[in-house]
Amino acid sequence: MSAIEDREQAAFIDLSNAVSSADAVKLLEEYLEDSNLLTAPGSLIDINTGKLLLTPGVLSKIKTVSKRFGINIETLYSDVPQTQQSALDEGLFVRRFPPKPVAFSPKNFVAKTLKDLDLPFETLAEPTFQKAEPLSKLSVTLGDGRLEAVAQQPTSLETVFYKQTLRSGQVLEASGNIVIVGDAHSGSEILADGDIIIWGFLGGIAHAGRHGKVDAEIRALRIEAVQLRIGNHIARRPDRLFKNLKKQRGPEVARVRGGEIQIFEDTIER
Amino acid sequence: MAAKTESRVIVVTSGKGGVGKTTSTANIGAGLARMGYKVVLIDTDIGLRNLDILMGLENRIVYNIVDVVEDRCKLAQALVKDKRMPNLCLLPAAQTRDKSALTPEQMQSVVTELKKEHDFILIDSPAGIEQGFQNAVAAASEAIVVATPEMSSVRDADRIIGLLETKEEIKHYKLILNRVRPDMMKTNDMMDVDDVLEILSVRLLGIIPEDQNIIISTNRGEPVVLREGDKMPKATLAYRNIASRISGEDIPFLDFDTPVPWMEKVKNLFRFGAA
Repeated sequence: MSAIEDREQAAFIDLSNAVSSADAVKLLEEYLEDSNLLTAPGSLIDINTGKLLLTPGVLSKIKTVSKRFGINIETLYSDVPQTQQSALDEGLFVRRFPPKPVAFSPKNFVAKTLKDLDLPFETLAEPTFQKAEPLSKLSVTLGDGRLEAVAQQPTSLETVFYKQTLRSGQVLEASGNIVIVGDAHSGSEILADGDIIIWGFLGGIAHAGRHGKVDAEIRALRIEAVQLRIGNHIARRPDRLFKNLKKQRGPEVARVRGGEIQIFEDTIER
Repeated sequence: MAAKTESRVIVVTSGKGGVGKTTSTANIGAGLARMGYKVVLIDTDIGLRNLDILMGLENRIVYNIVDVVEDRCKLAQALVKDKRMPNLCLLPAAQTRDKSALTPEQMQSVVTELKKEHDFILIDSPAGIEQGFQNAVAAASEAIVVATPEMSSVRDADRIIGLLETKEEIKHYKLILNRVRPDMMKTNDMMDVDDVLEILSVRLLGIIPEDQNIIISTNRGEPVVLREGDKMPKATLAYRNIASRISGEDIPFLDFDTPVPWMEKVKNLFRFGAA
């Protein structure tokens, strides 16, 4: 990977609303623990410390914490000359104005199943709603009227289109697939027996394949859902999301892989 | 802790919206949990829930109180454990329903169940005096009225106190005066604490100063009462004191007097010289 690509991958961590330097270190630790975005050793992060006055001691602590997670600091943004000088002394690359946020990027969402949440969701996955008609019988009748074969073949689920923004408190429910042209805000719920496709941003709860179809998928231009549920699997958003300022990602898709929900960049090749 | 005494059920209410009911519920609850009590917070603001966000637990909600009363899950499954303290949990409201999804009787049976396990049950009431409020107070035996030092808030608090007094089950109620600005009180630009207490003829539980740390905490999902360190915000101290008072300790009210600005000191000096 070239240096330029590396720079494009750097995630941005904003510590500027920390109330003290100790709090800034604590925040950084929490960010790194909460999100598994940067699992690859040697990943780069940019840190914004805003108006915080940080001593060389604190900055070296910040470096140590990052090292512990196998992460290197690429750029440190600061408005304070003393902090800038201390950071330079610590061998950090310093800039003054942090870039404006453009997008969140939860590449590797906290993909966990229910056991992490300590909730017996899987045992409770019994549908409380009307079961969709998942199967139809295909009969082959021979000339003498004898029923020769009875095969079962899934029918394709019907698809519902919704061309509007789904707002907090609104629920969209279908016994098939759902396509939303618009955003699904935090606080909204989408419940589908089949797939969910959102031509926009997904911020609420999406439950695809809710009657046990674990190969159902959830697609959106950006997935930042509070929770994702596929079949009887559930994943929650990390407590802190990394803001990736430099790279606008393509569409994202959530699938069940290896027993847990994972989010992938949605590419053409499958 | 000694053998479990009778658990206390406290509703936090105000009449007017936006005066700090949810903030107070989150902070008093976390404050009591910090002292070692087993605490459960109930959000009764169905359709407009916020307590989960203030607690930073939004992403952990699978079931809510409406699921419990409609028998889609057991009560224990709907309780969201706090990520910081094991003795604190939240019973969230449903976001996709409205206040009619719950009745006072259902509320009472949920609270009866919760009493078995918890020392304190704090109920966050929605704004208004309609069904949401009725649900919230139905199971409570104590009330905390939150008001800010503004006429509109004080009038609504008065209305709420009137309603609380008609409820036999509510044994007593106290006031939290929120968003207090001592500097404005000094210059008579804001009703002072005594004015409000006189108008409402109510006992004071605590005074919370206006503090930007509250906004920071709300957005981070970390109750301000849990801040630690040498530079603790005033609001942190104020909420800790309230939690201590609820638990029975006798704690004097905070003095929020701000130091006199330097320029004022100089002016006063000259005034003195001239006299």
